[in-house]
Amino acid sequence: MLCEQANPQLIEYLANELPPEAQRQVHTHVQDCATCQSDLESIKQFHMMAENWQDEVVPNWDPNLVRTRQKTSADPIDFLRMWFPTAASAAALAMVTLIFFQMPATNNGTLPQQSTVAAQYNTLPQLPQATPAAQEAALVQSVMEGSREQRAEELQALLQILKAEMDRRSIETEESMRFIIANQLQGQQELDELYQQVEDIMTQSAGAKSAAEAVGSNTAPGSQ
Amino acid sequence: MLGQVTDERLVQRAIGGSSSAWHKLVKRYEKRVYNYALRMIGHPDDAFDLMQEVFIGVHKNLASFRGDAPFPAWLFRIASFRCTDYLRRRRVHEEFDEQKNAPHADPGPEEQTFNTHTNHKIVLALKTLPAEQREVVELKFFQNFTFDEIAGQLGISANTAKTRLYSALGKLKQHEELRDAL
Repeated sequence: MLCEQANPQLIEYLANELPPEAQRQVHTHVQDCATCQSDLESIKQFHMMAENWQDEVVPNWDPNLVRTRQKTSADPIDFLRMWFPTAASAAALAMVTLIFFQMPATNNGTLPQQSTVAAQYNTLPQLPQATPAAQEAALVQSVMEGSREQRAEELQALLQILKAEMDRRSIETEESMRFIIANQLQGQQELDELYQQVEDIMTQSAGAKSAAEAVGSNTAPGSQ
Repeated sequence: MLGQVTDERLVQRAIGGSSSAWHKLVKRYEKRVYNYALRMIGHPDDAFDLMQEVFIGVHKNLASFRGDAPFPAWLFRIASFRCTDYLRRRRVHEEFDEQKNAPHADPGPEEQTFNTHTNHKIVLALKTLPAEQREVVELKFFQNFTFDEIAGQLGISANTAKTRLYSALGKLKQHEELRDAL
């Protein structure tokens, strides 16, 4: 047996967990292999390490509290703390993207129509409210499945929350933009009106001036 | 001859609502789970929290215990999952605290929290390993599970478990603290 074959089986060999034939082959190999003998000694030392561990005393507690403490799988605060940085980054990115795409290229004087995102938000289904039974089922599921599955579930929940948050932010952004544009238009309108008034005044003054000049020219010869 | 009541019997009685059976079952394994948590996490308060989380998980899932595998293997499957989840949450919290410039709670001089100097050295040595390697070392050397059992508990193949263990051994061999402890 080659060293590459025997070495990965040393732990099982030491624990006598190999099939008899493999056990015999590894044994034969170890007799002649200094590397494997050294590794075998190391593994024995690790077993000694485990044996040297002296059990620490468990603090006093009442196991029956577990029966009454139906603790949820994750504290909502913990959940928020865990995902807050990611959620904040994603929401910020989403906001920038939405603002970029919803910003009117040119202001043609009309307010933008309500976006489809806003329309979807109006009909957005309510997020499912967690009932105690649902929480318990979720916990059971989370315990029995691997961490990868739980991460996937949490990501799904996070995506749902993020989607709702993005929609809410987009509504707020859109409302802000509509408010700003409306203000700008109103300001523009007021400026237009002022300009018109100034123009009217100037026209009137010009008319009055020309009329006065006309009157002056008509009366001048007579007066001479 | 009156022998010890089997785990399976205690589980059945606990499922039936017997608080004394549940109490016995917990007392039978609490030290093993607590010390497992201590070696995995390295701090008594956190280990105690984790131990309680494990037993909460066990209690909630008792009805799903079929007895196909021995109770300890089933128990440590839950413990492994809880521990992985705990370490992940703690890592996220630490990152969160770092972002807020909040200093992480100082656990204090750890050496004083262990019974023996050797325990402290072992915990220090195990801490040098990535969590996934530490888990395999723990389950193999301290809990004496087979590679197949470890694979089932961690949801990985037996070969992966073995690879992780040998990688861990390579690192631990060079660890001075551990050499002192042995």
